[in-house]
Amino acid sequence: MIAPDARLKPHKDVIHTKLANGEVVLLHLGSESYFSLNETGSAIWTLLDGNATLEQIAGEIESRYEVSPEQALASVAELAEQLVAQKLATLEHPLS
Amino acid sequence: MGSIVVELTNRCNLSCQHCFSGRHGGSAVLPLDVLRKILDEARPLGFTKLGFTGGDPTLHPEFRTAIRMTAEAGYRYGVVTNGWTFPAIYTIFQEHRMELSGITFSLDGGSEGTHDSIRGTGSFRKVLRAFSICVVTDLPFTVNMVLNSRNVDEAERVARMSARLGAGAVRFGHLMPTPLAADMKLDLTPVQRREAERRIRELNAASPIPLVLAPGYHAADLFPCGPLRGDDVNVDCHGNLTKCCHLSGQEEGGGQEDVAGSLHEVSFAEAWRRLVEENARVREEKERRQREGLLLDSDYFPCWYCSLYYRKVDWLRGHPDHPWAGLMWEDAAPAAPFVPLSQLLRNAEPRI
Repeated sequence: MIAPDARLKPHKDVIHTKLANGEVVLLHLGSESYFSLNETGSAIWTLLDGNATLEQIAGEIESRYEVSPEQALASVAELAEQLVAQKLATLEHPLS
Repeated sequence: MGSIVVELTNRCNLSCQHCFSGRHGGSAVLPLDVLRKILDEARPLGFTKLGFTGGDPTLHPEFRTAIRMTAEAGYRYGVVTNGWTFPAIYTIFQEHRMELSGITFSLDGGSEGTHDSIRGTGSFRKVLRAFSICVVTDLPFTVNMVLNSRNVDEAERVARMSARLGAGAVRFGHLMPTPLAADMKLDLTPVQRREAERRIRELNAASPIPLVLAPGYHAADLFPCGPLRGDDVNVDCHGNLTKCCHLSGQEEGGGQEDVAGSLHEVSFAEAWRRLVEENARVREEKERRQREGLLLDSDYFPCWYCSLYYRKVDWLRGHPDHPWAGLMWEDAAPAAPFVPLSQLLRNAEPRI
């Protein structure tokens, strides 16, 4: 489980592309695999700058979409887990 | 009938080490009225497809309009690009997807370091970003790799990576000799070229996607490509109808005999007629050379033959250490130099 105060940033081997419709596509150079993010995932991805905590990102998502704070944090944490597992993002803060 | 290669502009945002100097850093753009002329006049001659090149064709200030005009005129089209501008322009291909035959991206290395050393820092990631867009928007794309001494060992990696990333095919082409490439020692020797071709054919046998050799590979057939068969034709960004995109833009060589006519001055049909006549002369001359045993083994690389015939590589005489310098003909001038009719008329003096 990644802690709410963790910070993530895009992995250096990832090329991210924002499409005209706002969606983000990720390509990992190492695994040569594509990943596409839905609208919410794309919004979260663009906030991964290595400075904002998952909690802060969840706050931003909560303000953009009609979701509860708990739902927002759960969504951000779930995506963060997947991004780290696929080596698409790296953790700037140790796992709790 | 084959296709018309249209150099939309010689503007380019890169300065690739193997490129003709006239192909990058230029500022010429093909006026859209010339494109309109091509679209209107080429179809009755049987042409149904246009391939846009440059420079980088997407840098034409009216690129989207050019694509729209082409598609609405009922032509199939393709585009060759380095991918840098792709995020800004790809939606035009979605709008005219039915007519799109494919997008060709230039990829000159299987690693970021090799590709960027040839094309410039950041190029590798830019072109793969363009791949990503094509994959998620379902736009068909292929890869073009120009083989040189620095990247030839990465051909297999390019093939494998391209297949994995969704490319429909990879086309491997030989480097056209240029002074810059000579200085960088990028040219393969004829033997190295043949070995690369053998290796690519071997790779193709086991590849999930077609790995093909671009026109220019060693061939027993004297007329193995569209331009030499008279099927394909090139229009440069100045509006000249010329024989082939591989010859066009080789300012280093100086020869302009491959230019059949300016579409600013003559109809497409008239320029095409001149080119057909010129092709007949080229055929006759090449067959004569073969008959008389004058062809060297290197002359079976068709682009090399045409570069010699059209005097595009005379500059090589100043590079005696170049791997191809010793393979030049003693009689470099073509037997029947192509002089456009309009030029003859302009130069004609009244006889009394």
